[in-house]
Amino acid sequence: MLSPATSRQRDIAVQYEGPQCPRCGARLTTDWIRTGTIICPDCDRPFEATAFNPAPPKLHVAEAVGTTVGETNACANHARNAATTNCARCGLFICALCDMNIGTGSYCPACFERIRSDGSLPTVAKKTRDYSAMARVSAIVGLLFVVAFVGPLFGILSLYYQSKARKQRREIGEDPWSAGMVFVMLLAILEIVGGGAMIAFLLYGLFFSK
Amino acid sequence: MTAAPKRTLLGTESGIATRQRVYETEEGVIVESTDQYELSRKSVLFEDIVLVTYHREIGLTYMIVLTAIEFTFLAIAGISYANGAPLGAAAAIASIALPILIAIIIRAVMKVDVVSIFGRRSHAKIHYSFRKRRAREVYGRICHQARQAQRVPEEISQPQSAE
Repeated sequence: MLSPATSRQRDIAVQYEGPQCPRCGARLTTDWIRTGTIICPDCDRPFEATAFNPAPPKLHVAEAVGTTVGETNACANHARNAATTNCARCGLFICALCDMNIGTGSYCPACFERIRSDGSLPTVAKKTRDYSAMARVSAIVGLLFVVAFVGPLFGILSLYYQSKARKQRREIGEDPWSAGMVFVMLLAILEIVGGGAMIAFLLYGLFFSK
Repeated sequence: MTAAPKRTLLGTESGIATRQRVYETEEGVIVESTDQYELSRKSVLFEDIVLVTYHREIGLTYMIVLTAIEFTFLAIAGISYANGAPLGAAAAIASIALPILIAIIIRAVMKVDVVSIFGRRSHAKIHYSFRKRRAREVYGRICHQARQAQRVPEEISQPQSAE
């Protein structure tokens, strides 16, 4: 870890573990988290900063009433505290103090440290499919292969992804009918109509021309 | 159905393989990054913000990549001319490098304003290439929102005494 001022050792945080130098990514210790112009101890370049001191999350630690069957379970690490949950990895009963939950499930401190050092700690980020991009790509691929008569298929696929994208956009509070979305929809409809017409023309030529 | 939280686009950050869009909501800042067809969303709550920084940089990777492309086109033009190609053809090839040269000059002169928001669990970065005033405004607004969210309850409930 980067010690203040004297250390020149580069310590780039791979997983986010707290404030870093915005220029070089070196982790900043609490001594360096302050308001004003900060010169990074690692790269020697300045940046303007405003520091805050967020209040620690308030924990409600209930005292264990008893440890017999039918009564409150006690925490495995704090016998006097009532367990609020159990560790998702080892199943140990843990109290609010021991609950290492960063939005990815409750873990006891020992398991949290272990999975963190293993790098297998699930990310806090919420992942979803980018249906807008999928609709866009389907429409472009359909346009490129419209001569291979697969345009209508990709057009339909694009419309399907667009309906999902619109729902997704509505959920996150974005305009479901943006100009880009309308353009992609028109492109998909054109592929279906144009491709369909091409196939119909070909079929007519094959079977009904004589 | 509950109404979706209102969010406003603060800015974007694009890397070689990643693209991030940063939004502001009532509770904090949402970072939406696109990785192929996967949208990843994480948030930095105002009440969790530890440090907000502002700096101006050139962006070394951007400059190196653009300079390399610039030199490639100039080298092709030079080699073509040296091998007997007409001056017009060599100039046409060299002219492709002109927009790149302009981009390099603009970046070197204007630089990029970067606003970084570091929370307890996650962080966000917003780049502003041209809108310098907007960068300052966003920096100030994020600091203000964080200050508001992190006010202790007494500070809020206590009436201001008349001087």
